[in-house]
Amino acid sequence: MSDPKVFLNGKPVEHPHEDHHHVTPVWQFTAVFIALLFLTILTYAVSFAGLGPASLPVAMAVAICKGSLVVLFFMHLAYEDRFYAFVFVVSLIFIAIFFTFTLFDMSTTDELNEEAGIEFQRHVMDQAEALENPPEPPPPKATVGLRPRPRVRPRPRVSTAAGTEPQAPLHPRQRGLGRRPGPFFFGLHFASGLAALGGGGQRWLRPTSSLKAAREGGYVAQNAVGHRCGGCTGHGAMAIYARSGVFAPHIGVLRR
Amino acid sequence: MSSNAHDHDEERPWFLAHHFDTVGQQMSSAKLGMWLFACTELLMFSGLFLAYFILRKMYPEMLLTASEELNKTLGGLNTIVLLFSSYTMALGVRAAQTNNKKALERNLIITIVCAFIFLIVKYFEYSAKIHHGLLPGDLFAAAEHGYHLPKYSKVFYGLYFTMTGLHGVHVVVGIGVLTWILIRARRSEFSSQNYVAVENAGIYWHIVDLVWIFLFPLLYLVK
Repeated sequence: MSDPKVFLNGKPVEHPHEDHHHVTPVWQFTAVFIALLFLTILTYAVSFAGLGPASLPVAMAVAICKGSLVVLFFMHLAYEDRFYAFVFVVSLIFIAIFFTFTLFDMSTTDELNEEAGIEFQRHVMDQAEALENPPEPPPPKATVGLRPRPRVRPRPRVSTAAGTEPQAPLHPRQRGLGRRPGPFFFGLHFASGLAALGGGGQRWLRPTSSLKAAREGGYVAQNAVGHRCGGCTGHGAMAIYARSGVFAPHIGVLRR
Repeated sequence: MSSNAHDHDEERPWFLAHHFDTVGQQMSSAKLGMWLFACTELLMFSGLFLAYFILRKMYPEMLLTASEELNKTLGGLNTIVLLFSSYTMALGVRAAQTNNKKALERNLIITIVCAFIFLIVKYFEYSAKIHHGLLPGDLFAAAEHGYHLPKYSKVFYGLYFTMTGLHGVHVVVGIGVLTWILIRARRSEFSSQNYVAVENAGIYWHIVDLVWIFLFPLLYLVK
C-alpha cells in the first residue's frame, strides 16, 4: 500500500497511529497452555488438602495467575497498544472499588445494627426455630476427612432478657455515636479532608459553593468516635457527604 | 471528509469499510470496541461474583456444605476443555495472521468441538443436580432426596445456576460467533492484513475462559 493517509476533521494526519501486527510463536502459546494446565491440576489437588481458611486466598492467587496468563498472552494484551491495557485495568479498578465498598459496608452494618438493637427478621426466626427443634447431627457421609471445620464464630447479640425493661432501640445517630473508633472511620475522615484540601480535590469534588453554605449554615460533622469538627474544608466536605446520605451510617451531622 | 480521501480508491482493499482511511485504523477501532465490550462483560460478571462473596460472608457454613455436592472432577474436566479451546483459539488467530487457512479452519473446528464438549459435561452436571432436587428457590427439594443440607442452601443453588447458566449462555453465543468466523474463513475472507474479526472472536472466547477460571475454584473447590 503506497503511503495511505489518515484524515482527521478533513486534514491529513502526518504520523497516524496504527496497531502493529505481532505474531506470537507457537511454542509460547504451548508453554502458556502447559502452565495453565499445571495450575489447574495444582488448584484441584490443593482443594483436597483441606487448607481451611487459607483455601480461599490460595485458590484466588492461582486463579489470578491463570487469568493473567490468559489475558497477557492468549488475548495478546502484553504486545498490544498500551491503551487497551489501560481500558482493561481501569475496569478492574472499578470492580475492586465495587467489591471493597460493598463488602466493607456488609461487615460494618452488622456491628452498627447490633449496637442499635436492630436484628434481622431471619436471624430472629432462625433462632426461634433452633430453640423449638434442636438440629439433629447430619448422618456422617462416606467421605472421610474432607469435611470442613465450621469456622463460624457465634455473634454476640443484644438480647432483651425477660425481666429487664426492653429499651426502645436508638439509632446510633440519635445516641451520639458512642462507639469504638475503627480504622475505616479515621481513613475516611483523613481521606475526605485530604481530597478536599488538596489542589486536585477541589477540582474533583467541586464542593466549594455547597461547602461554603455548609460552613456558614453551621453544619458540623461528627464522626463515629464522637469527635466533632466543622472548621476546615475537609470536615465541611464530610458534613456534605453525611447530609447527602452517602456515608450516613458512619457519620452524624449536627447543627452547631 | 475531503475529496483527498477518495484519491486512493483504486488502492483500497475490498475489506476496508468506507468510513475508515486505512486498514490499521479500521483494526484499531474494531479492537478498541472489542476490549470495551470485554470490560463490560467483566463488570456484569463481577456483580454475580460479589453476590457469591456476600453469601459466603452471611452463611459461611451453609455455602461450604452446599458446595460439597458439586462435582469437582466434572468441573475440573470442563476447565481443562475450556483451557484447551482457548489454546486452539489463540493458535487460530496466529494461523490467520500467517495466512495459514488450513490451520485456521482446523483450530476453529477444534475450538467449537471443545465448546460442545463443555456444554455436554454441563448437561450431565445439571441433570444430576435436577435429579437430586438441588435447585434454586422454591424448586429446592434436597430433603426429599435424602440430603441433609443447611437452611438457605437453595440460595447457593440459585447462585450456582445463575452464574454457570449465564456463563453457559456465553458459551452458546461463542459457538455461534465461532461458526460464523469459520464460514467466513472457508470463504477465504481472512488474510494477514484482514484478521481482526478472528482476533475479536478470540478475545470474546478468552473472556468466556477467563470467567470460568474464577468460577471454577469459587463454586467447586474452595472450602
